[in-house]
Amino acid sequence: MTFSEGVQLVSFIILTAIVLGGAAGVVLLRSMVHSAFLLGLVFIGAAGLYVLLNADFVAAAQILIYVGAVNVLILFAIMLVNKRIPTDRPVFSPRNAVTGLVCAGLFALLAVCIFQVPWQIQEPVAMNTVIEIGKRFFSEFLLPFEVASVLLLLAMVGAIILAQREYIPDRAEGEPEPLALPERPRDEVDTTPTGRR
Amino acid sequence: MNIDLAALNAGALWPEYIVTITLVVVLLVDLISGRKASWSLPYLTLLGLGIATATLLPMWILENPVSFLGSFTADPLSVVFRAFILISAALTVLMSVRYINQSSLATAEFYVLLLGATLGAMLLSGSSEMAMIFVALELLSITSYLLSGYAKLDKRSNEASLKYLLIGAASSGIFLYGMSLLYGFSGGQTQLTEIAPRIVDLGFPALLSLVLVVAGICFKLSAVPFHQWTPDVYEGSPTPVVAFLSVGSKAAGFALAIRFMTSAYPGFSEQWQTLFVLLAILSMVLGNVVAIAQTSMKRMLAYSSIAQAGYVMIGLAIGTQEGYSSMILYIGTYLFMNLGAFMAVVLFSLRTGTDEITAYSGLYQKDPFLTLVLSLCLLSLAGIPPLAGFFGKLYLFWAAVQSQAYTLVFFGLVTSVASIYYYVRVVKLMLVKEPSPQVLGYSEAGDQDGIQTLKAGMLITTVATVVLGILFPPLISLADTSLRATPSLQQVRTATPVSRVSTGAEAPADHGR
Amino acid sequence: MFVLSGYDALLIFLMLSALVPVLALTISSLLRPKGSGAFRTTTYESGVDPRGDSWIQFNIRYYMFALVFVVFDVETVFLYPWAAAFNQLGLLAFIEALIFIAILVVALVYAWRKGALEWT
Repeated sequence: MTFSEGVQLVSFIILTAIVLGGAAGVVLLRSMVHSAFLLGLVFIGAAGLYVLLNADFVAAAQILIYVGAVNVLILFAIMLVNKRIPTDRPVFSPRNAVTGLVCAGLFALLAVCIFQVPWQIQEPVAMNTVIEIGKRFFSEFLLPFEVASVLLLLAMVGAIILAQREYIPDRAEGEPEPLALPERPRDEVDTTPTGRR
Repeated sequence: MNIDLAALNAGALWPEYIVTITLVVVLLVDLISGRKASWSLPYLTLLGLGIATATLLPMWILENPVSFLGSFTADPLSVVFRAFILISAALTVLMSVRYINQSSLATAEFYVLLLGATLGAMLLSGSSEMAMIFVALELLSITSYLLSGYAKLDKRSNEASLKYLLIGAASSGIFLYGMSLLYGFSGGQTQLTEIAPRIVDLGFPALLSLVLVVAGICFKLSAVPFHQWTPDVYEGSPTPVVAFLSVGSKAAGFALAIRFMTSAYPGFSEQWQTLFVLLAILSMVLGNVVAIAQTSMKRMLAYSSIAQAGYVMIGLAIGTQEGYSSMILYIGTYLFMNLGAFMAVVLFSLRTGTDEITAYSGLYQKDPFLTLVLSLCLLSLAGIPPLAGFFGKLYLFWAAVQSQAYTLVFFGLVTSVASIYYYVRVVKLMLVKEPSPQVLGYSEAGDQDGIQTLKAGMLITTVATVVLGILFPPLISLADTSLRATPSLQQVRTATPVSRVSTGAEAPADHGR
Repeated sequence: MFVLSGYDALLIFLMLSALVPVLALTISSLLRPKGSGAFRTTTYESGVDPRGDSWIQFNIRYYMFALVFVVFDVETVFLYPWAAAFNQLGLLAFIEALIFIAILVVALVYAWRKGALEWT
């Protein structure tokens, strides 16, 4: 084992510990803010793993999008909700135990699967991944690339229409909440004897 | 690595370009003229959908269906499903005009999101490459989440949107996991047809990816046991959105299921057919049984749509040429009868403000037209003889009998008979019973602009529901020719017997490794 | 196998930067006065007496900006490879990238017209 391989092994162990520990923390911690920050750590650890896999552009994109934008969005969403979630829920409830069992089963299946497959491993070649990705975007992945712009446009339109306050009309105190759907909720529906069979 | 325009074969996607252009035009018209032009937006949307359908039809059988270097395959199978999706989007627009005005929701964005969902569904039914499949699936899903939460002042709509989003995101993750396994097994291939030969000998790992992919697709089909979101989402979302989800989104899901299974897993046809047999039986039984107990029309139609998806899956589960063509025909008839029923529900709820089933009683005395439309559509959904739904089911069951899938036929017949109970109950209520207070206070005086388009849509769907039954023989031959010209399905027919032998022989050897 | 070059410097940089907060906290814990007054645990608000909880509801505007930012962040990541490979791609790729940008300009115009970019 050369020196650089040793460094890579140590880096891999550290990054894996960060990802696994962070992910466990995201699920198990009781404070949502702590979970959100740990999620950012998991994203950073995953970016490190991408670097070890020679995917430097993907790592940069991971940091830029997931840590820089998505995680910030999640934090804003938590801070937007002015509510402390009751923290007296036990970590080890029957429901969590079942969830844990299901996850462990899925993990076992995937692990068995990984050891059964004769993976076709290719020797990595040094190249400029950014240029390679750029070329792929404009050849075989052209259609998904263009559709992604429509997806981004619609995501923005939808986010603005749902998050904007301007569309909520003013209403006086004590007035019932406006119902946007024409169908009234079931308990408000007139249930006089003639209405029933 | 320069590619020229001819190599892309980009002309095969003209309908999609037109939908995209319409989407941008609707958005820009709203931005420029604001409220003044908002009345014109639905008609603009209809015009765009109409032009897209007109450009789609000449593409019936293209000489070279592969476009964008394999991302999209515009074969007749995709053309049929894209046409279904365009028609269901257009009918959804017809029923939305009055609904949107009366609920005072923002107009332009609704049609923009609906067009986006249409675009995603159309792309999904032709995608033959995994990156494209995922982008199209997300385009359809994200616009669906936004549309189901579109009545944002209503808590039920918020609940619907959140439930849909959470379960949808989880199932997207499962689907993506399955696809990433396929990417790894095949040594970095994303084309479905390239993957197939590379995973034939894999055995258990390939089956694991198959299960994950099927679970992801079945969420879109709302097949039992991936159906839990359906009733709540259908109850809380704006009704036109529900109509589109139950038809357009499902059609895209079935197109994806056919293409993914036949292109990527031809070597495992026995396994995925068994899987779909189970899903079909569960969906038919649970959908029909739970629908009986419902008191809300929208929830009843939600469970009915689960059951109908179960019937369609019979065609997928038997996996023969007849199975696929009967499946396509049934989706075609289901489109009209289900959208017709939803249009009637929209009209009734706009006039009375409720969707309780009991409120429909005695409706015949006040509005014979609405009663006629709803009765015909419900009877067709139940499969009563002269209507289109009967012939659709007949052909499905006949295809199943031909391939000796007697269990499926048995469950199909029994649950169909059970379903007649809850469909006919509504019809009987409308025709025979005394009017409910809602019906007594029923008036057409409040009708304003937009009701006419809704009535036009009801007329179209009802006529289609009645006439399609008579037109069935030519439609069957049409579906057959379209399937014969679809290369991916041709491979299936020849590949099936061979693959059965090969999986049987190689699976044990693989485990021994 | 790791074939990228130039990451040794990054590794050293990361290790050094990981030391900074550790050192800062250790040194200040050595220097600070011991003991626990009543004000030890209060929120620091630039010398002003803190009022209310530190857990307050944020303005929804932050969320709107973050949403718009996510969309354009993703756009940047998509366009960067195009810019890097620009010299090796032809005219067709240029037109295709223009279509991509045009659709996102529509998104920008929409956000602008709907006032999503204003703080009012």
